[in-house]
Amino acid sequence: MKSVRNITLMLFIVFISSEADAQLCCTSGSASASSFEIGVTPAKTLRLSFGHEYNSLNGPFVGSDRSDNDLLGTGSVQSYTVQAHYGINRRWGITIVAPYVKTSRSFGGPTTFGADGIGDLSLIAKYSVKPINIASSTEIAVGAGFKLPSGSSNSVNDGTDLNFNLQPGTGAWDLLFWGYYYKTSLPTGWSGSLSGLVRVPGTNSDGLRYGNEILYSLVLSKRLNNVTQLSVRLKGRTSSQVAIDGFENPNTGGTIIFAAPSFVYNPRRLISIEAGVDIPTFYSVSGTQQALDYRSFVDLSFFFTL
Amino acid sequence: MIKIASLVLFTLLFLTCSNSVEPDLAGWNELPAEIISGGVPKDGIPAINNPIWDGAAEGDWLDDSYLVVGVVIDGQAYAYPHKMMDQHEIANEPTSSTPYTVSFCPLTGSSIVFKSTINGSVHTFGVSGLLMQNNLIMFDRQTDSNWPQLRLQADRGSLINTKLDLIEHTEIEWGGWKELHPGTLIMNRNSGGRNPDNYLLTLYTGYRRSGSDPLFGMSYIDTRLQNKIRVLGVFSGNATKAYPMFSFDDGRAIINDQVGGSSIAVFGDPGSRMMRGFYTEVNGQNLTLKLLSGTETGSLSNVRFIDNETGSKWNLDGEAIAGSLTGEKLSQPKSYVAYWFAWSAFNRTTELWEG
Repeated sequence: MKSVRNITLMLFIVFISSEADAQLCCTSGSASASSFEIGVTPAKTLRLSFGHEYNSLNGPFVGSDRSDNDLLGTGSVQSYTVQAHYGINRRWGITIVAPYVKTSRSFGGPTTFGADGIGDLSLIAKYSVKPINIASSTEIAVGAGFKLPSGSSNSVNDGTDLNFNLQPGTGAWDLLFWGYYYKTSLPTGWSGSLSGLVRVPGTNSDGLRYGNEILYSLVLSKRLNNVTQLSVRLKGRTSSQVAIDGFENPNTGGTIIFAAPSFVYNPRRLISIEAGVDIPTFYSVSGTQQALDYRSFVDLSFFFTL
Repeated sequence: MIKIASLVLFTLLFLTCSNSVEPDLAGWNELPAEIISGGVPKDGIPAINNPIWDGAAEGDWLDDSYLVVGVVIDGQAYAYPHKMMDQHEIANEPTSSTPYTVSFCPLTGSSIVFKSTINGSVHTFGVSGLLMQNNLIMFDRQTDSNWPQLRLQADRGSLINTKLDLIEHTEIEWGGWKELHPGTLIMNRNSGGRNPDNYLLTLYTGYRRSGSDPLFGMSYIDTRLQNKIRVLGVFSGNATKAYPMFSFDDGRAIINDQVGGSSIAVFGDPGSRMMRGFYTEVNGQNLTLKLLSGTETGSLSNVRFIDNETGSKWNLDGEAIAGSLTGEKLSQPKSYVAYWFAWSAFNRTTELWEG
């Protein structure tokens, strides 16, 4: 049984190695950036989260430097998400993320270009290779799933088809692969996790294919008392270039690394509020492109035993 | 188990990024530069078809200092404001007495006007979303052939290698165009199906700075000039030569030169930012043009040239209006205005006027 599991994992790695590439900045139609940092929920437990994420895009970057090129305008991408994390049993769980996306971009004129609507719904089945328990205080989990093209990718504003990165959805089915490692020390109140989500996009009806993308996060948390916890994340996104009909857009793709402090408050045992901000610490974008100035987020989670 | 899980995570972390999808270049000419996506799908930038036309007085929304693509078709002058073409790039006139298309690429600062009757039928053009060296690649709706603007021909599709039949046009400020053609019409802001006030926007301001980089990387850069210097590129025989706008910084002037074995003259006017070339051989005689005294300043409509050889006087349309050559007309070489980086990338053996 153990060898079968190892072979499965190795095949998983080989598959990802041959396919992964991606696109930078905000991921159109994707799940909240923090949804992949949650492990397999305890058996018969539903974690229901409502979140808001604000991505500020105020200036273009060339490589690692901010550019004064005014061609790309300024804007924002917001997503309101509903996340459901359910533990089917001790090892298996499922995560469903449904976003509502609102995009905008202005070039200084009377029209602010943008769209809003249901984004792309994603679903990941999670398997806990090493379920957490008091003895080990460690969890190792992997997962796979897909993103549905439930969001519009053909929104029109002021007579013009909006650019792909202003669309609520991508119009394509994507494959998702997820990995998670968590370690906690109950006596000290410290915990940490390392997680990653790979997205292998499909091609939409316009021939557009996002570049493959990997989101990764290293989280260190300290429980201060029974109701508060502080976390510091080092998280990032690396992606390759968007292509339309196979022709790449060189001004897409690259890497952004964020430092992300956040604060968790548990006013009641089965309610959790987390708020934080992602502050970019490293840019390496391809060509000239709008990149995130900062991201703020807030999540309200409820836990139910079913 | 921990090692395997770690391996999974680190594999995710250190995956290098290279797209596994290769562009389908089947059917394309072998081109000297790669083709890229500009980030929008086909028709993502909407072309204008059959524009609405206003008289010059109704064009008061456009400041006199803004550039237009000016063209005269069957005696009627038309102005296509850059402020509108920035957002549409192509305007089709399929029902004109001479069907034609105006195409403007804001990334390469280049416009061309060409007859849209091809092989006996009228074609209309759209924006493919593809770029070649930052330059717009058009497609025609009748055959889906692709036409890189500055290649002046189709490079893919059933019309491959078909050359565009160019129509003379002028890149010039709106005020200057009105001086030359008081009866001009100007494209109405409702022609593009968008909020008319959006055409009051001035886009690409930072991009137009002479030393700034093209939006997308170039596979070829000629460093003799800064990237965004506007040049008039002239084709003559097998040669090409570029005349920078700054050659006329000292004032309205005319340059007499030789390109590809032919005598040409290039007129430039910094006040209106126009440049125009002429072949100066008339009846086997090469003429040397100079500005007629008294027309160095003032309205463009009063500009006159005089040739050293016969003393004939010429207007800005190249027509001899006085002297022994009265009735003769100077033809114009094939030419267009573009940013230097684009002109030089598409014409890599180009000469450069450095006088």
